[in-house]
Order: sequence, then structure tokens, then C-alpha cells
Amino acid sequence: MPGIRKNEKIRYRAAGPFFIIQLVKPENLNALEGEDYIYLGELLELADKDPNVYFTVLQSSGRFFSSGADFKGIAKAQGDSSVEYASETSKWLSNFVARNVYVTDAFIKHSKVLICCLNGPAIGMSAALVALCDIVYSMNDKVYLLYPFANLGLVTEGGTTVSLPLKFGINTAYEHLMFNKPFKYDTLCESGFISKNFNMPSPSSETFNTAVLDELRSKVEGLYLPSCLGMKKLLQSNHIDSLNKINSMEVNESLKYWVDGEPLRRFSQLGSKQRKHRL
Amino acid sequence: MSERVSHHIHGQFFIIKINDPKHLNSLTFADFVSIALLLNKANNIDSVLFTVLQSSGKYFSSGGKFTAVNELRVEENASEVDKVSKLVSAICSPNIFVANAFETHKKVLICCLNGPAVGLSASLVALCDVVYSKNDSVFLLFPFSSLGFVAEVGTSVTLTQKLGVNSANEHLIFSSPVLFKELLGTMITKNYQLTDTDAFNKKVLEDLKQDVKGLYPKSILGMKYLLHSQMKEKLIKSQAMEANGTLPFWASGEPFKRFQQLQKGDRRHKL
Repeated sequence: MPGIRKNEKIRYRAAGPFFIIQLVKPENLNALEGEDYIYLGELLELADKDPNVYFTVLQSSGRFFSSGADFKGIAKAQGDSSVEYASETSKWLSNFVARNVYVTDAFIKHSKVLICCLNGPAIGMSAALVALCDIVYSMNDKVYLLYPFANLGLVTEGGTTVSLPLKFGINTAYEHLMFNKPFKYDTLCESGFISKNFNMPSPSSETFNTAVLDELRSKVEGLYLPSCLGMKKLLQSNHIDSLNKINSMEVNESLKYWVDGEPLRRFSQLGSKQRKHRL
Repeated sequence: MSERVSHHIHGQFFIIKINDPKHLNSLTFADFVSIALLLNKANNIDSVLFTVLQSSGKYFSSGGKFTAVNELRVEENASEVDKVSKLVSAICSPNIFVANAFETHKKVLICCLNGPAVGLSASLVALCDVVYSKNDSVFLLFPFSSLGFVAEVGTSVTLTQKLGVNSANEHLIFSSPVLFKELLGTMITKNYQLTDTDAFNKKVLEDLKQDVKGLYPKSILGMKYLLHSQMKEKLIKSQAMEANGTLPFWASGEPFKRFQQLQKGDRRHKL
């Protein structure tokens, strides 16, 4: 399999029918910058092209699955005088819209089965990508998903406008999004979002990751793997149109908010601890 | 506008209150239109983020008043044109004007469900984005098939969306109540387990004020716009289908017979 450039926060490897992507910067809670989300998209494309791959498995490390966008990265984009943009619109089209629409699209159209090993909490865009996965396993009941758009001066992104109502019901999605409330383990379970809880204490993400892969190997034994992909294609067709439509609506709506400047103000407040995520 | 429906504005909250607990908050068609006009008013106030429906006493609302329905009755010797004209104008108002006010509303719709809701009133609860319940005795009843007509005010879409296909089918086809057990997690996102309605209404507003502290108002409205875009077209389409679908049933006279039976006590809602 031809590879792509390396990324110090994200590793990948192929193991039989599994293409495993792992976030490996637990000391930074696996926060990701724009370029990292693009990298994830490129990895999904790589997995998509490989005829030996049937399952794309997202794994992480440490306490958090991913705390979402790295504030420092956003501050960097703002302070970056090396690139000149004709306008704020132009700047945020490059630094936000393009990245979001690309990685969301990569997840929406991915033809292999997307499995997420949720070792801990996920926030923001990272949580949006978790919601786009086909199957989610949790390490324990401490996991949660937080979509803090209302707290950050943003709107729904990463397909959450469709994925959250779809997977949790519309009223529950409204309650959690409008009031910036985390989707805690109980809600994740009741809705069937989590298919299995491995009930392993933190911090044992490596044991969890290994256990999931072992279990996946035994689950696929005897299955005709091309059937799994055929099934995925049919199931995906239920929602792919509404997801594609919303991806465009979301990024274009979000752009206004970035140009307005509020997200930047609030991200820097988060960075300087003047503002907190409500948990 | 209406003696039963009042409103006041409290910061980011536009609060609509139904206040006729002695009559279980049953409403006339004019009351429903008043609620719709208030929604439209709230829509045009920039500082408003949330439109909150509250009620009083034991029931959220027992639905349309029987007397209001009986007023629509046409004489036996009325012409076909008169008959249809009267019905079209009476039935269109809830199905098109009232449903439309909810379906095009730009603010987040919150319902404080203090008790059971029936018929048109229950349909409005189903159109709200967020519903809180006072306690586990609440239920919703959509008795359209029992009363001789069909789904109205968006229920053919909202119940399917929020309760699931099979459950919506069961409840609408058989006029069976949707109990708290089923509403929790689907339509109701939080149960307060209180007994006093005024205390419930007050607590919800206190909690809402806390919940929105520090959040960016434009984000809330932006997310409503995106989230609502999903269902808006379906809902607007249902206005025509429901209004025209229900009209022949009303024209046949069957609903009037059954409302009269309800009023006399010869028929009861199946609870």
C-alpha cells in the first residue's frame, strides 16, 4: 500500500482487513489542528482506495479521544502574517471552510465500515467525526461527547445538524446543542449509539484498543467481507444525500460566524482560561 | 387578543401562557390563531431567542373546545358552496396558519408540559423543539381517528419523526395515548417531577436562564436555522396534504356527530 507523509499526532497501519488510525498525542488530549483534520481525510482516502481494507478503525490514546480543535492552531491562523488574504472571508474560507467541508465529506462518503474506539471524551469537530462513524465502542462509562458550538460562537459543523438528530432524536439534539450540554454515557447508551461498552478502567486505552481489535477479528471470522461493504453502501444511502446537503449548508453558514470574529474571541478566552467548557 | 392566551417578554424569552385551568385550558379556533400571531410577533423581535409555551393547572390543554367545533356546523339545507366555504375557512386556519407559524418560527420553541395535552394542543407540543414535563402523569392524545377526521397540524410528520414510524402509526391509527414512558427521551428531554404548575413554570425559566449564560445568541439562532432546515419542507408540504385530507371528513358530518357525543358524555376519549 503506497503511504503518505507522516504526522506526529496521528499514526496509521494496515492489519489484514483493518486500516487502523490512531491519535497518539495524549499529553495534548489529542487536540487537532486544521492540517491534522485534513490528514485524517487523506488517511480515509488511502483506506478507501485499498481493496484489502474492509474496516477503518479510529483509535486514540490516553484520557481523551480528542479534545477537538487546538486553540493554539487557531491563534496561529489569526496571527499568521506570512500569508496575505484579500479579506476575512478569504482567510476563513482557507482556514476553516475548506478543511471542514473536506474532512466531513471524506467521512460521509467513506466506503469502508467506520469503527470508533471511544477511549474517552470527544469535543467539537472530533466529536462530530465520532458521530459520523458507523459503529462506536466505548472503553467505559466516563466517555462523553460535547458539541460546544453555542459556547464558541459557532454553529453545528461536521454534519452534526443531521447526525445528532438522526442518532439521538431531534428534541434531544436541540436540548444538548442549544444549551451546550454534553451527551453523557447514559444518553449514548439509551439511544443505541454505543454498541458495546468494554468496561475497562482509565487509563488503559492500549488494552482497550487491543481488546477491540481482537474482538473485531473474531467477529469477522466466517463473514463474507464484501457483503459487509455492500451492506454499508445500502445503509449509507439512507442519509448520504441529507449529509452532503448539510455539509455545504453548515460550512457556508459557519463562515459568517468566523468572519464576524466571535469564535476567535471565545477560543482565545478558552485558551487563557477565561472561558471554560461546561461539563 | 384572547382572554385565555397571554404573553410577556423576559429578556431572551418570549413566554406564551394559557390560562383557563377551570376548563382544562381548552381553546377556541381563535385562541389557536392568537397563539400563532404571538409566535409571529416573537419571530420579529431580535432580542428573543426562545419562545416558551406555558400553561396552568392540571392540563396543558384538553384541545379544541367542543362548542367551538359545533359552531362550524352547517344547516342541513345549506348549499354545497356555503358548506365547503365555511369548512375550508374554519379548518384551514389551524392547519395552515397555525401550523405554518410554528413551522416557520426562527426562535427555539420550548414547551413546559404541565399535564396532558389533547388533539390540536398536543399537535403544538409535537411541533416544539424542546419539551420539559412537570411529572410522569403527562401524556399526549391524538384522537383524530376516534373523532372522525385525520392527522392535523403537522402530526403526520412530527409524530413519525419523533416517535418513530411504527409507534406513530399505532398511536394515530388507533387514537391511543402516548404515555410519559414513551415521551421520555423522544419528545421530553427532562422531567421535573413536581406537583405545582406555577412552581414548575418558574423553575424551568430559572434553569433556562442559567443554561444560556455566556452562550452566543447568534449561534443559537444559527443552529435553529440549520437544524430546522431538515424538516421544514416536509412540514410545509404536510400543511396542504393535511388540510385537504381532513376536509372531506369534516364535510361528511361525522366529526360533528362525534364531538356532540363527546359533549353529551355519550363518547369518551380512550385513556
